[in-house]
Formats: sequence, structure tokens, C-alpha cells
Amino acid sequence: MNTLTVLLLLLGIHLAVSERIRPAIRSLAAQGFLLGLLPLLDSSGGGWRAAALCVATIGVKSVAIPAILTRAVSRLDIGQESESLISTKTTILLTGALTLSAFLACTRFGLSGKDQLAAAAGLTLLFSGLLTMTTRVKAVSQVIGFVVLENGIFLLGAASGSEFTLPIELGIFLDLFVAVFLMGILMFKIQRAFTHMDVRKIHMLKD
Amino acid sequence: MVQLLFLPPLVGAVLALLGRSHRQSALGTVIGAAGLLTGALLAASSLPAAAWGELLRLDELGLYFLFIVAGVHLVCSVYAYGYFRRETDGGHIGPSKVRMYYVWMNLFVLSMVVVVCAHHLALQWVAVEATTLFSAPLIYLHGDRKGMEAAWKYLLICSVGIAFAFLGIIFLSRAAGDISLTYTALPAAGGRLDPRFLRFSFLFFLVGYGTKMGLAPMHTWLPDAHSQAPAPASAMLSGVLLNCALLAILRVAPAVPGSYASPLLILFGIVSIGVPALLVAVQRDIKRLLAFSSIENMGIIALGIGFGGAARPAALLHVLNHSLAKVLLFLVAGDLILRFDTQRISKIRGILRQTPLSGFLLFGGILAITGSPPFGAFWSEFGILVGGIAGGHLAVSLLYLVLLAVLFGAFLMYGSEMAFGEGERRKLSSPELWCLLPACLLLLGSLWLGLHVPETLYKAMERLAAAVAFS
Repeated sequence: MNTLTVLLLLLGIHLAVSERIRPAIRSLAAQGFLLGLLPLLDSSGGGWRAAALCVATIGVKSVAIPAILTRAVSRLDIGQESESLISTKTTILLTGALTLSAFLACTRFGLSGKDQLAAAAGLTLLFSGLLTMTTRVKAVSQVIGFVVLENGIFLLGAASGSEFTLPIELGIFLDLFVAVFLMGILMFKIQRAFTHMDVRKIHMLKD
Repeated sequence: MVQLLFLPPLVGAVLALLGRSHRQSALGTVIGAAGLLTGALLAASSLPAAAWGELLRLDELGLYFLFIVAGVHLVCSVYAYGYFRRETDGGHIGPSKVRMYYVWMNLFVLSMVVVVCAHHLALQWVAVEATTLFSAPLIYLHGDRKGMEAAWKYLLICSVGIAFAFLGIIFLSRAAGDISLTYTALPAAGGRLDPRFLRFSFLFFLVGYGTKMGLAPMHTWLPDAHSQAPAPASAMLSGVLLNCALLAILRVAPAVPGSYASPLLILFGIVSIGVPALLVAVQRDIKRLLAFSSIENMGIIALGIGFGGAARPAALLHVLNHSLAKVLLFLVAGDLILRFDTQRISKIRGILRQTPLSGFLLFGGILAITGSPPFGAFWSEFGILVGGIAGGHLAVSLLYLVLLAVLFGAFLMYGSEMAFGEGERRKLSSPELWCLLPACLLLLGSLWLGLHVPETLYKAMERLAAAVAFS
């Protein structure tokens, strides 16, 4: 479990500071795969249940979502750079600060349940996902940030041992998949209508 | 038999998809909506009704929201027929897109029916997220740039908001331990819930579902989405969807101590009334103006729930009053936008002279939404004020009164400019019966609730208020 968590955390940091989009998507897929292994490690759950969750997680987070994003990157001709509003140096510093504050917040508020490290790692992923969503300018990067944030919440949930009945868990995955799928469709439509993917320039609606 | 309530919207979606013409798709949707309303009436006699183990349970609170969903859906479906007939005639939109409107709308209603019937809070979360997903295609139905920008913001901001609400569910399950996360088991557990995690949980619920409900400062997506969707969809988003997010907050409220929850709701409430009061003066787009009014009204409801006491039944009644008046306004505005061919307030002038019934409905709707007598919202807004003063929240109550006065003045100004103002004369197309008839019904409903609040409704609001009281 701890090895998995550390790997997830490292992938998350790579995602947060990565300057290029394709490696970021590969990291995202790897993160989804590791998250899929979590239910198998948890011995308390029944065999079938764990297997179903493992298949659903890997299917959605490691195969389907990265496939949608890769398709978007290659078909939309949006370049390799994941442009950011702030420099890479600042991003690295901010990510470090957020990681530190996630660990501090976990001890301060006693958030960690069964697994202290996993809770802190989950919170770190949540923070870095938000950072990516707010600082990256390309729509694809914002979706990546959203999925990282979701992964963080998933890890936090696993760390606190919250479990729901299988239909609800599968509903959660279905929701996430459809959300990213819709975002993918919208990316194509936006590209066609605006002929660019820079969300800085999409601001016709304001007061 | 709660699960049978899912059938009418499903049937509506299938009929809309199979419909060979606009008329058939619209008829299928109206059949689905009428079926849902009938189902809600039948369900009223056997409450509470549970099904699927811990997953579904319809109680009186859920039924109240279900009635609003079904009623508004029926009115909007009839309106949509007239609205899209005019849009297709004008060549603004193709027939296949109109068919998809009805399909998505039925699925959107289905997801809201699941929200009101959900017993387990995680199932409710799944359903609330589903409402976002099914309504996003409605926002970019026309496929223009602004619609896509609005849909993109809506999808991204609401998904993040809902993700925070899920964090709330995770903390709630930490607080609950072995207690199941249903809206009946949690308040019953009382002191056995871990208070610290319960507080975290409620905060995240409020921020997460509050985003979806349009509470400031998480409201930024709302004016865009509500102004870009086709008018009947805007009416559903404003008049029904925001209520569903409110219900999600109300479901967890009875488990949370009032000393913690009340100040938070009062704070979010007053900020949500204040932000529209600041921004209302610079509005140029009629639908954005209405969207800001939705933020304001959600703030009023949150404030009333936070005040507690006599303000709480008034806040619950305001849910109905707001839906009636806001749906009316969106429907009339949609009709005016098509006929004047603009969304700009400054270009819509002299309605009362050129098309008297629309002008009458618009002006009546504006009086109704701003809480002027003799419309229903007057009593609910007044009740919240009285409850706030009686509860000892004198300063906030005064601020609430001042902000309401500012908003009243601004809306009356826009309303009288549009209704009476002098502008270039243009030849308007004739009024559409299917568009104006539903609006007339809504105005009558709002007027009825203003002249006389039925005893049964008032009693019901008091029971519901007791059911959602903080622990």
C-alpha cells in the first residue's frame, strides 16, 4: 500500500509540473492503473466486489479517459506544450508548498484514518489538480487537472475506508467517464468554432 | 413503488427519440411530464415509500420538490413546442437538434427524479452529477460559440463543485462509522456522529452543492449557462435544478448542529443576495438579468433556512414561489427574444403597446419575482424577514431588507423600460398560443399564492421545516 501511495504521489507531482501534454496523459494513465490496484490490496472487501472495482477503475481512469485525451491531442493539432500562466519554476515551488501544506493539514486536522500517508497523498493530488486547472491555459490540461483532482478524492476515500454498495460505486465511475467524455466532445466543438484551444481567449460572456 | 416514478421520463425520452416530427417528439415529452405529475399525485397517498433496500425513499420533503419538478416540466414541455416551432420556422435550428433537445430534457428530468427519491446520500450525489451531464448538451444546443463557452464553464465548474461535495460524503462516512449514509439514519444517530468530521463534511456539502445551487461566490457559471440555453431549458435550470441542489444540502442538514450550520448558511445567503444587488445595474442581457435574480433567490432561501424559526417554513415556501415566477419570466423572455430578435434589454422596448399580453406577463412576472404584493413571493420574503428579526439577527435582517429594496428598484426600472419605454417600432410576429398559455398559468399560480396561502400548504411547510431543522 505504501509503495503504491508513494508512486501515486510522485506521478501526481510529475503531472503538476510537466511541461508537455503527452507525458502528462501517460502519467495520468499510470495513476489510474495504480488506483485500480487499491481495491485488490484491501483485504476486507469481498473478492467479486474488489475485482469489479478494479476493472471499473482501470477501465475508466487508465484506458478510456487517457484514450479520449490522447485522441483530442492528436486530432486537434493543439501542440505539445501545456502552456501555463506561471513559469515552470513557480509551478514547481507551488507544488512543493501544496504538498507540504497537505501533509501539515492532515496532521493538524487529524484527517488521516486507516492510512496517514494515503490521506496526505490524496490531499496533495487534490490540491495539485486544482493548481493545474487554474493555471494551465489549454482545455486539455484543465481536463487533466480535473481527473487528478478526482483521483485525489478517490485516494482520500480509500484512505478513510469509505465504502458504498457496488451500484453506487459504479455510478460514480460512470459519472466521471461521461463527464470527461462530454468535455472531450466540447473540446472538439470549441476547436471547430474558435479555431484555437486557449481558454484565455474564450471570454465572450461577461458582465 | 418509488422506482415506478422513473418510468414516465424514460418513456418520454424514448417517445421523443422515436418521434418522426417535432410535434411527435414534443407530444412524447408532454406525455412523460403528465405521467410524472400523475405519478407524484399517486405517490402522495402512501408516504414515505421506500424501495431497492437503502437506495430509494420518497418522503414529504422529496414529494414537495418532485411536484415542482413535474409541474414545471409539464409547463415547459408545452411551451417548448411553441418555442421550437418558431425557432425551426425561423431557420435558427435544425429538426434533429430539436429532437435531441427533448431526449436530453427527459433524461435530465429523470436524473432530477432520482435526486428527490434518493435515500442514500452517495446515490443522491451520483444523481446530482448526472443532472450536470444531461443538462450540458441543452446549453450548447444551438452549437454557437457562446453556448459552447457556457457549457464548458458549466461542466468544469460544476464538476469540481460536485467533487467537493463528494469529499463531504467521504468525511460524512468517517463521521458516521458504521451508520449508513441515509438521510433517515444520520439524524437518528445524533451524538454518535464524530462532530469534527461532521463539520468538515457539512462545509464541503455546502460549498459543493452550493456551487450547483448558484450560491455566491461559486455562482460564476450560472449567468452564462442560464443565458445561453434555449428558454425552456433556462427555465428548467433556474426553476428546478437549483432546487435539487438545495434539497441535497437540506438532506444532510438535520444531522448537523445548528450552532455550526446556521451562520454558514446566513453568510452564503446574504453574500448571494449582495452580489446580484451589486451587479444588477450593469446588466444588458435580459436572460443574464434573470439568472442573477436566481442567484439572489437561492440566497434568500439559504438565508431563511439559516435564520430558522418562522423563517424556515417561509424559505421552503419561497422555493415554490421562486420557481413559479422565475419560470414565468424565462418563458416570457424567451418568447420576446425570438420576436424582437435580440437579448439586449435596451433593444426590447414598448412591449405593452406592441404586444399587450406579453408585456402584461413580463411586468407581472417582474413584480412577482421581486416580492411585491399581491404575489406569493411577498409573503415568503416577508416571513423570512420576520423570522430573522424574531431570531435576533437584526443587522442581517436589515441588510437583507436594504438589498431587496435595491434589487426591487433595479428590476422595476428594467421592467418599466421594457414594458412602457419608447423604442423603434418594429413589426413583430404574432403571439404564439403555446408560449403564452403556460406563462399565463404560472402568473395565476403566483397570484393565487399571494392572495391566499392554502391552509394545507402552510401546514405542510411547517412539517417540512421541522423535518429539515438542524440538530
